[in-house]
Amino acid sequence: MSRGDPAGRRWPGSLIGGVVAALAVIALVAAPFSLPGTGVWVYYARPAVGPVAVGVLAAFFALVGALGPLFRIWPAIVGGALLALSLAMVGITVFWLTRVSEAIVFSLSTVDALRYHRWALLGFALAALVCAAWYAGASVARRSTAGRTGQAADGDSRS
Amino acid sequence: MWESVSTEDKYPEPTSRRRFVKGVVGGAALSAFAAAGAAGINLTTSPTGEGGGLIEYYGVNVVGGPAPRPMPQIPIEIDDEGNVLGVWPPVREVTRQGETVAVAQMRLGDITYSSEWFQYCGVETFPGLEPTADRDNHFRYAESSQYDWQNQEVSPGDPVNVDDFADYRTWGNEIGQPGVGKPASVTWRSEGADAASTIPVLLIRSDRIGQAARDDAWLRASTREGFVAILNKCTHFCCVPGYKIDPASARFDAENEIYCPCHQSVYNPFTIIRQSFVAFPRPEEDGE
Repeated sequence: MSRGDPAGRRWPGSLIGGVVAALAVIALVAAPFSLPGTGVWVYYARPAVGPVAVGVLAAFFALVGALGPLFRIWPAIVGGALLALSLAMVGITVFWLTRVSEAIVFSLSTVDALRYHRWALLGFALAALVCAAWYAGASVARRSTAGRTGQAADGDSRS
Repeated sequence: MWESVSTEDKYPEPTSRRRFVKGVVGGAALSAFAAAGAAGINLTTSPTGEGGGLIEYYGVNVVGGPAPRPMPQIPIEIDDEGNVLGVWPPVREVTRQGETVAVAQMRLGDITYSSEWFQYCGVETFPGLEPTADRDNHFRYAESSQYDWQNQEVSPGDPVNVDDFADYRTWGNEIGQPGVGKPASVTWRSEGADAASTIPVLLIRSDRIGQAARDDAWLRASTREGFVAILNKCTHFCCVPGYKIDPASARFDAENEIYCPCHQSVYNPFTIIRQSFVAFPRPEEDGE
């Protein structure tokens, strides 16, 4: 079992930042569904793997990031999982946005801010990746026994 | 004697690196699961509704600004009373991605003309685009028009008649040259629909269309007596452009063209070209 880090229920800044970025990704993935018409499905489904998968990964990220410390899962395990999830989010987002047709974006609605939507999605996915790397790096750098001395997962002592 | 062996002796104490690797493996497994699931759903289901896909069509050529493709043309016919109608093809069952869907589709000129030409910018959800809907195909004058002649000489909801355009060779307003073409803001297949679901159409009668139709098989099939009709939804963020309605159009050499005030896209209404685009599907719940 991975539980038992006596360092306690600590949410350092890197973790909070990552969770906020993941929530922003979820919001960005959901936002176009409020548009009239069926274009959002075409926008998201070409190619087959795209923002829907990124949104699911962001939900996993937010859950792991928020609940990991709550259930006292070792920070290194949480950090590793978050790093893998955020890498996948960035990879899928890049794969999708380099293939989606701009003409489809133009045909979605009169909301011309949509031209920035896919780039905002990439930006927040990258933010989640940076936060996850920061958190994981701090967790791994710490000696395995550090948790038993009551130290925080990384240098940030916010709780 | 048996020597007592502690757990720590048999199994080295987990390090942060090992825990990190465990986390990476778990995260990677979750990622693969999510990506494979999303791809599987996309490939095996059709959550997007009916029809749509890559469609070839004719529309008014983009000659300036950011619009990526032409606005689609609506083929025209004129009835015995001189009223102008948009052609609505007969409904056919076609197979798309293994599913049978109803599409209003016919062969016209050298192309397959279908209701899918107009499925973008949310228009795909309008009741007038329901293929099986028995609707009036007459063009009717729109409620609000920016053309003085339309506000003064005809009433909203009236069917468009050829006689209303008798002065099309000389008509002009303060924008651009007179005699290029006489426009009207009209609606199509939208009686009883709310304003947000009304199909906006720009109708122009011009000698330039009449002359071009002599040498062009498609224009001969899709225009009548110099009338050309265009679905008036800009292909760049879905605004409603206009022909000779905005003085600012002159700054973009568009005073005699169709000009979109939102992002300055310019379309030449007298140059009809063939292009393709990805039509959006109609929602599945449409079943009037």
